[in-house]
Amino acid sequence: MSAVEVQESIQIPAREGRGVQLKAGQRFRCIDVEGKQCGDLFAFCSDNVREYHSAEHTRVWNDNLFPRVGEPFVTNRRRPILTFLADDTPGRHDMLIAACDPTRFELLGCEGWHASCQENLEKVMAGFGHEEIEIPQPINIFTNLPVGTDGSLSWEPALTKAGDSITLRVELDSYVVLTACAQDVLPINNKEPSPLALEVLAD
Amino acid sequence: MTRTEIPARTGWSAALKEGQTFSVIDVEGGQAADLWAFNSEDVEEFLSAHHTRTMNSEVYPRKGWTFYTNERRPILEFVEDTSPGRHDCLAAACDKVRYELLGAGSDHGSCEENLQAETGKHGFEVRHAPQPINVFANFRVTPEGGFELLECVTKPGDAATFKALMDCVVVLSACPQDIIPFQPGGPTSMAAEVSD
Repeated sequence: MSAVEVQESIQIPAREGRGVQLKAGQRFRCIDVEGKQCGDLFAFCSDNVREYHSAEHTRVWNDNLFPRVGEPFVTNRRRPILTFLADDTPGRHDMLIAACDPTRFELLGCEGWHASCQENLEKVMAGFGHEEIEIPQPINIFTNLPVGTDGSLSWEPALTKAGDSITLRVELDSYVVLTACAQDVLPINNKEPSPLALEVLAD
Repeated sequence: MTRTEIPARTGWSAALKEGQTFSVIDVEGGQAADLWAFNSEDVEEFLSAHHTRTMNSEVYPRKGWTFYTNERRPILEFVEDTSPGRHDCLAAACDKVRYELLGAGSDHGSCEENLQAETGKHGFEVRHAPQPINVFANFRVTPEGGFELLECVTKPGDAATFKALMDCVVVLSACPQDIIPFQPGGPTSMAAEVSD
């Protein structure tokens, strides 16, 4: 693989989220820094945050539960917003499970406040001036949730190793938000939430 | 019990009280319906397929399932099913853009537009359709992660019955999809039966 110049490198501490505003045509990489860590990835159109990446429209567009390299992610208005350019991971990702939220952790028996991907997303988008957003089904990158032939979902630890990454291109001017999943009750992050990184690549 | 016919390609809705049941009936067979439910007290809270999948750890709706809202509260229960049991919660509702992209023009009619017309009758707007429960839709996940829109396998009179677990507005749309051939015999009528 040829060396790729990184324009901006954003470190995402464990259990936190970060975002960046990107123009159509820009490329970015999501990196699992230490391994076995899931990320919730979201993309909202910059000029109208009511249009955003929609998992259910993407499934129908590609006839697949998750895009293959080369395929698009589309919005709730059926426009490509991201393209999956490269997958340097064992290839397990999910778009079936909701972002974790305060109620999720309360129902799992956690007492008091617990960090969650939904709150992380809301905080990042509020920082961009968007206090009121809809919470889309995330693109759960690095997330290992196999679907059985009977339709059952298994919550398995992520298979990613330190440094594994995926690369995407933005097709519409977008806010791209990535949160390092805070789930520590179920084993998807090996019960040890760790950091992620988001790198904007040079043109 | 009140029975209402839902002509092919059109929508239906009702404001239900907690504990009421309603049945979705495939009158002629081979027809799918998109189902949505909104909390009557706060329509920003609605049945969410992704929260429901997460809470049930399954992807195929079936009898016995509880459906949850985006606040993870129970809103519907799937109480009876006389159909072969094929239902979906993974495919987006058809909409105007879907038919434009399929080459069918801008005035085809869609489940999203039916939803918007029905919620208008209850005094609220939805900008875009939430992921519906696609009752009787035979959409399947392949072992390789593919997603296939197979033909509906319902027979005439097959019914799926749901109970409201909170006061809610429920909406059905008899899916007008006639380009992708998952409704053998083309779009046909349905019926809804609501308990007293």
